[in-house]
Amino acid sequence: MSLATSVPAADRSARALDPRAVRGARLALRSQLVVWVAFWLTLAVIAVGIVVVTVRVGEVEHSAWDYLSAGCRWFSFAMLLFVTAGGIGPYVAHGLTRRSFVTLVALDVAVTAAVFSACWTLGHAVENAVFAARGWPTSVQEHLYADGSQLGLVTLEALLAVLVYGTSGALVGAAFYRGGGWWGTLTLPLTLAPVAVTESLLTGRWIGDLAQRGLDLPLPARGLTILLVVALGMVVLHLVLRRAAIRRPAS
Amino acid sequence: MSFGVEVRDLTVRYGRTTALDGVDLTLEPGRIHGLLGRNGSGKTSLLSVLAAFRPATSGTVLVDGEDPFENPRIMAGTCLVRESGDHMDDKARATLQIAAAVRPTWDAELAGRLVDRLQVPLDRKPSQMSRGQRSALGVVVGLASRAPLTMLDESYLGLDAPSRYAFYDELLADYAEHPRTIVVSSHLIEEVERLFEQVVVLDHGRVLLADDADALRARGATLTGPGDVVDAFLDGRRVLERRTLGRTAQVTVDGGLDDAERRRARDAGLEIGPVPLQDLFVHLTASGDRP
Repeated sequence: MSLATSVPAADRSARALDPRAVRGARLALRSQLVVWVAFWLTLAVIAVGIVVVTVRVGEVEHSAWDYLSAGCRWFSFAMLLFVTAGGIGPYVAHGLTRRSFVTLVALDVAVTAAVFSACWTLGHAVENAVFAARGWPTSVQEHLYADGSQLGLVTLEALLAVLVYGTSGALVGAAFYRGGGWWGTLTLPLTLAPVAVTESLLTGRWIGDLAQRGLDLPLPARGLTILLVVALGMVVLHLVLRRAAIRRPAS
Repeated sequence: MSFGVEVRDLTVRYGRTTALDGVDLTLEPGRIHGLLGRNGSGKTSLLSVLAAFRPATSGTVLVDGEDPFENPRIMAGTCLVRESGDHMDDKARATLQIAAAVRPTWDAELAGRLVDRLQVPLDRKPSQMSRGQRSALGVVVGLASRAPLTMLDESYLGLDAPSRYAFYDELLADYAEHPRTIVVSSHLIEEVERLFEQVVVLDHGRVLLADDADALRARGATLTGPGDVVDAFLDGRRVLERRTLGRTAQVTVDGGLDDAERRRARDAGLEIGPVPLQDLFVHLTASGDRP
C-alpha cells in the first residue's frame, strides 16, 4: 500500500478532540492497561498477604483492603505525572496540539478514576464476602464510609479521590516539565493543593477535617467542591502547558 | 502537497540568550533545503518554531500561510525529528503504530521498508536502543510521516555510514515520487550537499546567506593542478581552502570564473570544479564574513 501525500484535514477550528488525537490516545491508553493490570494484581496479592499475616499473629479487626487505599491514590497520581511529563513532547512531535493533549489528559484522569474506583469497590466487595463468611469485621477509619460494606460511598470516595490525585499528578508533571526542577519543586504546595483540600473534605486527613469540623458542608456540596477543584486543576494545566516549549530529547 | 515558509523578523530568546535575532527567511515549497550553521547558530531554535515546538519571542512565522503555533492543520502537516526523535519510552512498534494513527499522510509501506533497511528493532524501547538505532527510528518516523513540511534536525547523525547512505537514497527516491518541502540540518555537509536545492546558512542567530545550492556552488571554484601553476593562476584571488598532496595543489577560490578565465585555466592544465559547500560554509562562518 502506498499513500499519496495528501492535505491534512483543513480544520482550523478549536476542536479539542481531534479524531487523530483520540486514535493516538486509545493506543497510549492500551499500553497503560498492562501497567494497570499489574498494579491491581499486585494490590490483591498484598491484601491477601496482609490477611494471612494478621491471622497468624493476631485477629482480624478491620478491613485489610483499606490499608491499600493510599497506594491506589498515589499510583494514579504517579501515572498521570509520568503521562503528562513524558507524553507532551512525543504528542506534539506527532503533530498534535497542546490543547488536545490537555483534553486527553483530562479524559485519561476520568477513565483512570472510573476504572480504579470500580477496582477499589470490587476489592471491598470481595473482602466483604470473604470476611463475612469468617465473621471478620470490615470496618475502616478516616473515610466517607465507616465500613467496607457501604459500597456506594466506597465508590464515590474512590472516584473523587482518584480524579483529584490524577489531576494533581498531571499538574506536578506539567510544572516540572515547564519550569524544570526548581520551579517544579517550589510549586509543589500549589500542585499538591487539590490533594490536601480533597483529603480534608473526604477523609479528614492532611490538614484536618475542614468540612465536618469547620465548614460543615453536606456531602453533595463537598462532592461538588471537589469536582470544581478538578475542573480548576484542568484549567491550570491548560494554562501551564499552552505555551510550553517542547524539551530537547536526550540523545 | 508542500508547505512553504515565510519568516519575518523572528527573534527567539532563552532568558538572556538570544538564539535567533531578527531572522528573515523564505523557504519555497516543494524543495529540499539545507540548513547549515555552527553549533549554537540557531538551527534547532528555528526549526522548533516552525514545528510549533516553541513559541517565538517576537516576529512573524507563517507555514503554508498560517501561524503554526497550536494550529491543528499546520501541525498535522509538519514533522520535525530532532536528533534521535521525540518518542515515548515504549517499544518502537508502538511508536510507529501511534504515528500511523495520528499522521494523516503516514505511509505504512514506506515505514516497513525503512524499518527493514535501517534495521530498527521493533521490540525494543528507545532507552534500550543504541544511538544509531534511535536515529533510525527517528528517520523512519520523519520520512514515513510524509508531512508536507518535513524537517530533519541532525536526526541521522547516529547512523553508521551504510545506513546514512541508505537514508539519503530513500529520501531522494521518496521525494521524487512525493514532492514536499524538506529541511535537512546537518554537520556532514560533504555527505548531504548533493541533496540540497536551496541552502540557508545561519550564524550567531542570523541568516548569513540563503540561495540556490547551484548558485552558491558557482560563487567560487576549485582549481586542481601543479602547485606552482595553481599559485600563478590565483593572481590575488581570495583563497577559501588550500590542500596539497606532493606537488599537486587543490585550491578553492571565492568568486566565479568567467569563460575566458576558465579557458585560460584549462590551457594551463588545471582542472576546474565547483566550490564545495563545506569549504564555503567553513570560510563564511569561521570569518564571520557576510556575502
